[in-house]
Order: sequence, then C-alpha cells, then structure tokens
Amino acid sequence: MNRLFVLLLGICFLLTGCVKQQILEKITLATVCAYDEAPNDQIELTIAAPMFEPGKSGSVTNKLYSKVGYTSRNILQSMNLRLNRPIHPGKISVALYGKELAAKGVADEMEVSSRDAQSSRKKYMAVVDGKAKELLQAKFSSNEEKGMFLFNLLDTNARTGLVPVQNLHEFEYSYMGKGMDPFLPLLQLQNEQVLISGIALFKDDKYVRSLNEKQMRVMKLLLEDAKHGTLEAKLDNGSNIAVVNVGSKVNYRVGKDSKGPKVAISLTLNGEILESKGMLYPSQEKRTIKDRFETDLVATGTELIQLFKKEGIDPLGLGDIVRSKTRNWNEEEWKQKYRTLDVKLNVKVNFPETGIRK
Amino acid sequence: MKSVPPLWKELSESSDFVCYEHQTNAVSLFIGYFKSLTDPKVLHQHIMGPLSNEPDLSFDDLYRSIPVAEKEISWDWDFIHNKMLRGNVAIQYGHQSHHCILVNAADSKGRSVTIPEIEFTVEGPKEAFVESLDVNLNLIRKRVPFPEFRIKELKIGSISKARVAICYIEGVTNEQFLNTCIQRIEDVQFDQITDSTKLQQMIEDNSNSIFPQTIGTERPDYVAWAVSSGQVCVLKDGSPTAFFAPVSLGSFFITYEDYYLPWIIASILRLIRMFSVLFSVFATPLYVAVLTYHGQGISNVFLPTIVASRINVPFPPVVEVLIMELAIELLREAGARLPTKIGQTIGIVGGIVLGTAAVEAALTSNFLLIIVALSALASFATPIFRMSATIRILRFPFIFAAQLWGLLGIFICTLALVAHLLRLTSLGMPYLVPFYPLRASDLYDTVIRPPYSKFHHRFSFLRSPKPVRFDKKNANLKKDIDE
Amino acid sequence: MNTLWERYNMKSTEPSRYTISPYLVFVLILTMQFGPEYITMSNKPIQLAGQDAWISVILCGISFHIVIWVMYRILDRNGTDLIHIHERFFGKWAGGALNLIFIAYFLLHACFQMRLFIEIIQVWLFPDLETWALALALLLLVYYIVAGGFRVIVGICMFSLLRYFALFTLIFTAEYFHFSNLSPVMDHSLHEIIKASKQFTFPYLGVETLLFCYTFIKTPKKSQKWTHLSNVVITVFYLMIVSVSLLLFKPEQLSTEMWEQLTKNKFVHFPFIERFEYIGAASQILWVIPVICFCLWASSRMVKLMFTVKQLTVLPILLMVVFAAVCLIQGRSRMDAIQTMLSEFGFYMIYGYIPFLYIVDVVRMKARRSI
Repeated sequence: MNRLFVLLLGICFLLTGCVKQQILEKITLATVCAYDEAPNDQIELTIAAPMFEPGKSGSVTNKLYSKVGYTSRNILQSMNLRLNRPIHPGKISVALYGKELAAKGVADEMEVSSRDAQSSRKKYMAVVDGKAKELLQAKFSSNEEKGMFLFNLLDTNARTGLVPVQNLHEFEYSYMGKGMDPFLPLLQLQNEQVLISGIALFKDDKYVRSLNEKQMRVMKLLLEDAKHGTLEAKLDNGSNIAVVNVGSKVNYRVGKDSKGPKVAISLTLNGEILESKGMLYPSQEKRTIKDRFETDLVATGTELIQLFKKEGIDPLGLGDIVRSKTRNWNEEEWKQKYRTLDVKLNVKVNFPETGIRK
Repeated sequence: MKSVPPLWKELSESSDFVCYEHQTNAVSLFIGYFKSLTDPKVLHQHIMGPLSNEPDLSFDDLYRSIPVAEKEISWDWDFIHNKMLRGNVAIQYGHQSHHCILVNAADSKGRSVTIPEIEFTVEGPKEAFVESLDVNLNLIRKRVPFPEFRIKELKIGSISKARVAICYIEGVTNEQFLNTCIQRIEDVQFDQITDSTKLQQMIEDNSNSIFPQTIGTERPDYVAWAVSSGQVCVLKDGSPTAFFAPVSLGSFFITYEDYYLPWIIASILRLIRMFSVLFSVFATPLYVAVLTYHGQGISNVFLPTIVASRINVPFPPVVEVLIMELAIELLREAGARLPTKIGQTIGIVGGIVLGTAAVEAALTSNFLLIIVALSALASFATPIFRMSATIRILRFPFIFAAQLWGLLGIFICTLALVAHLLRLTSLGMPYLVPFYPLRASDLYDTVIRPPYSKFHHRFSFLRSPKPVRFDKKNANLKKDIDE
Repeated sequence: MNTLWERYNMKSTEPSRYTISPYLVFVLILTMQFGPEYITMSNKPIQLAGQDAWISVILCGISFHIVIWVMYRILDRNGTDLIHIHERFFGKWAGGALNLIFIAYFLLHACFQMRLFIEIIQVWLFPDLETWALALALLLLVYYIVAGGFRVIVGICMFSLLRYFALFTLIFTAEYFHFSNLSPVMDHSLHEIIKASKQFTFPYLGVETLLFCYTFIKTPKKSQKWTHLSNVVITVFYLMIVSVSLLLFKPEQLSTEMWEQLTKNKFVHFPFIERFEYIGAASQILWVIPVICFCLWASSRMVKLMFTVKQLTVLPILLMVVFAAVCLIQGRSRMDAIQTMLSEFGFYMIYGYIPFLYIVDVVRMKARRSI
C-alpha cells in the first residue's frame, strides 16, 4: 500500500512536474531586432533569425522576418506561424529603432525588455537614420551573423573608439533618473555598409536631434574618462595634426553664485602626436599645436552645451551632478534654471610624448 | 572398513581425509589429516620419520621427538577438528585415548608477493598484499617494528571460519574506534566470507550508501601509514585487500604516491584530481541542463559551434547523453571482464572507431563526445576503485534531475548529495571531517599535500591518545643567511 | 520554591554528540539572518531614505547588537532555551501558548520562504512549473536533512556559505557605478532614516533562532562573540548590497524593480556563460533551504517537548501543513501580505518581546534575592 502510494506520487510528479523544454537547436535565437513605425499606432517588428549550417560553425546566414502589430510580444507569437522553430527573444543583444518611431518615444519597447526575465540588461540600442528594417535587409556583414556584427560594432566602438554608447540599463538610468536625458548612437546605411554616423539625442524617451561625428567625439570626452580615440586639427600654417588620446580626464565642479548654481567643466587630455602632415619637427611647435587643440575643443564643447541648453535636454547629466552637490534639489526648479545655466568649459591638452620621432 | 577412532567419523566422510593406523610395539597410533591441506614434506620427514625410526615411543616422547615448533596437545575435540581443517596433522595415541598431538603441517599454496596492480605507483615500494594472511601481516609488521603494534585475530563466518586480523597501535589508535570495529566484526552473522570487501560492506555504518566508508588498499605501505596515524586496519585471510577506518571523504582522493612526490607536485596533482571529480559528476548534467533549458545562457561565441554540431542529432540532449554514458560504461565493463590485451584492443576499437562513427552518423554531437570522454577519464583519476565506481554512478541522478528541472534540478540534487554526505559516518566519525565539523588544524593534509614539517600532529578527528607525531619546534628551524 | 527551581534547572546542554562548537553559531546565525529576503531588501528603504539608506543599515545593525546582548543575558542566566524559559516564567499553560505562537511563526516563515523561492523560479526560470511539484521535491529534501538532526542542519548552513561566491559577482556591476548617487549625505531627515531602518528589520531577522537552539551549543556562553561577529558580517554584506543598489540604479528605476538583487545578476557576463540570472535565481535555494530546515526543526522540536511525542512523527505532519499552505498561497499580493505580517511580528518580537522577557527575568531575579 505504502509502496503503491509512493509509486503513484512519483508518476504524478513526473507527469506534471515537467516544465517546457527549450532545446537549443529547436528554437530560433534571434540576436537583433528592429522596430519601425507603422500606421495606426502600430509598430513593425523585424528580427534577423540566424540559420546554422550543420557541421559548419563558421558560416551563419540570417533570415529576416517582419510583421506589423500592436505589441511586440504578440508579433513574435504570430511570427512563429511562419517558422519551423519558435522564436525566443531572450538572446536579442541589439535593438534598432527607426528614426520616426524614436521620435514618438521608445519607452514602451524598452519596458518590454526590462520586464522580461530572460532579456539582457546589457543589450545595445541604436537609432537608425531611416527605416531600421531597411538597414537589417542590407548585406553589411559578409558571412557574419548580423546581430553579432552589430553588437561587436557597437561594443568595440564604445570600448575602444569614439562613440559614447548607452546600453539598455544606461538608457533606462538616464531616462528614469532626474536631471539627465538619454542618448543613443545613430546608425546609417551607406553603400550597403553600416556606419555609426553620430549621436541621437533624446528628450525623455523621444528622439530630438542628432549630433555629427565631430560633436560625438567631444561629447565622449565630456562624458567619461577615455583612453582611446584620435583628434584632428588643422593648424594655421595649413598642416594637419592627428593626436591620439592616451588618457583624458573630465571633472565637473559645481559652484554657486547669486542667480543659482554654475558648473565648471575641466577637461584634461594627454595626447601623443601620431601624424603631422606638413611639419617636420612637431615637438618644437608643441605650444601652437596645444593651443589649437584647446581652442578647437572649447569651441566645439561650448557649442554643444549651448545646443543642449537650447533644446532643454541634458545628456551630460548636469542636473544629476548639481543634485549630488545640493541639498533639497528640486527637479522643476532646475528645469527652469537650466536654459540659463552658467557652464564653463576649460580644456587643457598636454603632449608628454610624440611617438618615437622628434 | 578401516578402523577410525569414533570421534573422527564425521571428518572421514570427506574423501580427502586420510586416517591410518600406525602400529608400534606398544599401541596403535592413529594419524589423521586432510590430504588437500597438508604439506607432504612435513608429514613425511618430521612426523613419519621419528615414528618409524623409534617404534617404542611413549606419548610424551613422541611429542618431544617431532621436530616442528607449532605443535600442541589437546583434549578439546572441536579445537582438534578446527585445527585439522587448517592443515594440522593429528596423532591419537591409542584407540580410546582422548588427547591428540596436533602438528602444523599446513601447506600454504598461494602466489608470492607481486607488484601492486590496482594502485600501481611509479615511485615507492612495489609490494602488494597476497591472499595469505601471514604473508600480509609480515609485510605490515616489517614496516611497523614497534612493540605497541597489536594484531588481534578473530574468526568469522559459520562456514568460512575466516581468520580476520585487526591491526592497530596501542596508545595511538583511539579505543572507541577500535572497540566499535571489533564489535562490528564480531557481530557479523554470515556464513561464507570470501574476501575483505564483503566484510567491508557488512561493517560499514550505512551499507545503503553508495559511498564507501572504509578504504580498501593492496599496499602494505599505505596500511602502515594508516595504522601509525591512528586508524584501525583489518585484514582477512584469503584476501589481498586490507581496509582501514575511520576515513573521511577527502582521503578517497589521495593516492599513496602523493607522499612519495615532492609536496608541490603532489599538491597540484591532488588539486587536479579533486577538480576532475567535480568535472566528472557535473559536466554531462550541465550539458543536459544548458542545452535543454538554458540555451540562451550560452555565450554568442560558443553558440554557433554547439548548435552546428547538434543540429542533425535526432535525439534530445538527455537521450544523447545517456547513450554516450552507457557506451562508455559498456566499454569499461567489457574491458574489465576481458584479459588485459584484448581489453586494450576493445578500448581502442570502441573508443576511437565507435566515437568517430557516432559523430559522422550524426548520432551524437562531437561537442558531447569530448565532454563524455573527458568526464570518463576524470572519473578514473580517483585512486580508490570503489570511490571511482561511485563517482561514475553518481552522475546519473544528476542527469535525470537536469532533464527534469535544468539547473534547478542540479542544485536540488547537489543539496541532497551534501545532506547525504553530512549524515554519513565512518565508525561513528563524521564523513566530511575536517570540513564539517570544521577542524582548522586538520586541514593540512586534505586538499593539498604540505611538506612533512607540517605533519607534526595526527588528525585531531581521529582522536588519538597521542596526538603529537613529533615536536613541532624541530620542524621549523629557521636559519639566517650564510649560517 | 527551592524544589521548583531544581525541577526546572535541567541540563543546560544536550549530549555532546548532538551539540555544535561555538564557532558554528557564527555559521548558523549568518545563514539564518541572511535569508532570501535580501533580494528585495534595498527597494523600500531607498524609496524612503534615498542615498542615506546605508545609514539605516548601520543603525539597524547596531540595534540588533543590543538585542543579541539582551538575548544572551536572558539565556545565560537561565541556562536553557526559550521553550523552557517560557514554561518557567509563565507557567505551563501560558508558556505553552507562547510556544504555540512561535511554532506558528516558524511554520509561517517556512511557508513564506518556500513560496518566495518557488515564485522566483516561476518568474526567472520556468513559468509553467507547478507549485506543488517543486514544493514536494523541496520538502522531501528538507525532511531528509531535518531527520539527520541539528548537526546536519548546521552542516547544510555551512555548505550554503558557498552562496557568497554568487555575491562576488556584484563586482561585474562596478562598470556601471555612479558615485554621485551617494551624495549629498544626510539629505533626509532622521525620521525618514529611522523609518527606513524599520524596513531593514525583516532582512536582519534570524537571530531569534538562537533562542531555540541554545542548548545545542557546546559551551553556549562562549558563543556570544560569534553571534555578534555574524551580525557585523551581515551588516557589512547588507551595506554592500544597499550601496550597490544605490550606485547602480536611480531610485526611480528601483521603484519598478521587483527583485533588484536578482536584476543585478543581469550584469554578469562570463566568457562561457552570458546569462548569470539562471544561476543566480536557482542558487537562491542555498539561501532558502537552511532557513526552512531550521524552522521545521525548531517547530517540530517544540511540539516534541510540549506534547512528548517523537520528533520523527511530528515532522511529516508539519511538512504536510507547510506543503498545503504553500500550495494555497497564490500570487504576489498574498505574498506581500504575508511578508508584512512576518516583518511586523518580527519587529515586535525583536524590539518588544525580547526586552520584555529581559525585564521579567530581572524582576524575577530581584524577587528571588529578596526572599
């Protein structure tokens, strides 16, 4: 009797205790998805599903699936009607947003992946200049998987390049946090090639305007301490100088005057001269080169800050910096003051080394 | 019908029992022995010799004139029977007499001492136990020429009446362990005990556990070490394995060769061995769990490799794994049952030919083949045979748990395993000591094998009455530069 | 009077085969205090006290030191555990009733922990997992552990210390720290900070287990320093967890997170494993199982002592009660209600009942001396 009970319990356990399996090769693990605007408040979702070839781990092709609907999860479900292996969105590591959709706000799409227990918080996001679907359709990655290609593109450029990149977590951080606004890299398709063409600035979760490549470089320097990237300047005598950044430091200082807070940004950049076109001994003219770079950086930087203030956006997070130095900081009050905020930018460029030549 | 003294009637039912009457001048002597157990040389030279040379010997003279050291006079017929069953020749003086002279003429046929085959080591002595208890005791006694070294003999088994020797060092071994051990051996109620491994299973604390709670070894040097550390060692006549207790889980992953190698090398080898145990138990279950449930957790770099090798395999991961695991077990089992040379061929044919063919036929992924082969190899790195069998079996519940609930199943199974290990004891000593209960001073010879200067204390969990091995101060003499 | 005193003055420790060394109290209390509720710990206090939440952690830690000190005064003076102290102070019936309350508390606590774990698994790993199936498997495991006795439970506690490796993965989040989130210091009023401290009592709970296993400690008086040490370590860990929450998230972000500590696992990337959250969620079992085991051990022991039955016969019945209760608790809101109930009970037990017991003890002592 006792044994029978245990046996019955065991059978019952095995029959109902099982959970839904997701055997790796029986599911489609999409790595990139693209959101676009569609009429009637709908969205168009495109995913690139990787197709693996048996025995050949090197070559992976992509197949695109695209569908219009109201909620992205429902779209994925109806995509399964066309697939031999159901889609699992958990591995999506890059999300692309069409410019038009971004202008209407990306918070809803972002919320989906923040809610999903299986999605990564390190997912990269980017705005596409044009339609995101068209970008995915292009053959930009030779025989690499498209999602991996885009992920590596954004990842390497963020880590060792010129691009300030925000992943899902950081985007959410600046979107939800007070006194700052998010930004994303802007992707562009040029001759079947993907290119990071600049920065897309957001006000709350809505795309406002973009920055070009030069502004992007300066913005990266203002945002974080960097050890990568080159800068270029044209001297008055016509020679072009390229400098590699071997370590830059940015420091925000909050002060106070009668009108309210003021911010002083000081940027110190240690560079190494890489290339000097039309100049034989750049080390003798360090002074001029230094001045040139400093004025250039100050000009672009101040221009950027003016732009931010004009648009009423705060991608540098100045509000948050002021908050951390002020007691009883108030967001509403700050927003009014922001447009007339006194921001000073000081740049100091040093050239400790000039390569292995003088 | 030959005349047989009435008390030998029972024995003479057996055809290898020889009993004949030797007529002397005074009385007739009866000489009885088992043909199959006695050495004819002793019988002819040392017993028949004096008897036929001097026909008029009295009982006492006869006793004195037999030139064998092991002889005695007895009246107890049970004792006489037992002795005769162990190869003694009995001489009864006269038909009605009640006492006998017992002369040991036992013929010990058996192999001579050879090199260890199960626990072979490159360094160190190459002697292994044989089936004769006396030879084995000789091998140990040679290594422990110490007056407090005691050997206590018991007889167990109603049919086998096997001689069991319990070895320990008085004053080093804890009395409690010794008494428990003796008590358990005496309590054994079994008729035929042919080998010490049988005895081992009978006296272990929890005989329903797949974990061995005593270590069996064929190396006399290992036994000598165990005895001098305060463990109790048991040998059985007719068995080439001695075992000792109490032991903790950690000691199953120690080969005795560790003590013959320089300590850094030995420690690294030991760490590799411990890691290989973990790998062996967890590798295939993790494969099942990840491929069945948590595929999204695999890094993007690995994903194409794994998917591309799996995509044409018709089975779900768990079936694939079970087939491969069973194939490996089969190969091992077949190899073990066959003579050495054929066994090797089987291993090569099975391993290489079957493996390659299985991958090419897309019955298994080559990724899995690597994992299964590695974990099989890893399970063989465990030096104690019973423990390595345990490790091989242990992974199957984990595989099933992984199939049921993925990683969660593995976690639950691990906890159940830990709970089981926590509940186990060896002669009443916790099995996981010195990790739980934690004895910091005993951690020295567990995960690594430290230099011998650190061995100044016996393990405190063995509760030896004499815990100090040698004076600690002498071990760490520090010298100055150029001194 | 004298005979009564002697009658109660029973052995202060169990036979040495069943006792644990004082240092293991550290392991035990550490495991009991650091329950799975830490995964939701930082959210509410940060909503209340913002960047000053770390002060609340320290305040709460200090208050627990005082409570531990008081507990040891009571226990050391009486030389036995709370079950006997209850009977000694309040008589057989009132004491028994108090013991019953504690049995109910431990059982509810066990239910809560188990349901919380199952909920985590259902949300993070297998949404379609049946509650009863996992509850059954876990309770069988609990039965096997508890049937092994107190030392096996402490052994499981010791094994569960491996979980702190999972906490080391917090290092992976360092990339996203924003140190400006910690300033300005003391931007919140003392009132807010203390209110946040109150929120921390629930994660800090667990020292009360000592009241029930006191007789199982070999030299109980020596164990006090280990309990204090455990409290210090817990404070450090909680400080770390709360600080990481502050550095990593904006309070506005946290307010939308259900289990912020598990979300932190999403930042962990190993070259082999890209998603650590599976391991993180499944490893919660190491937080849950020891606590459940202890709860069931303590409650079954209380039943044993009160009704003089065998613990092995009580245990399956209690397990069935827990099983039924776990299957009946459905949904997040019910869980929240239980959590509030437990934390309220814990709060009054720690800051109300234990000091009360101390006063009763002192008064009794005074009374006896005057006689």
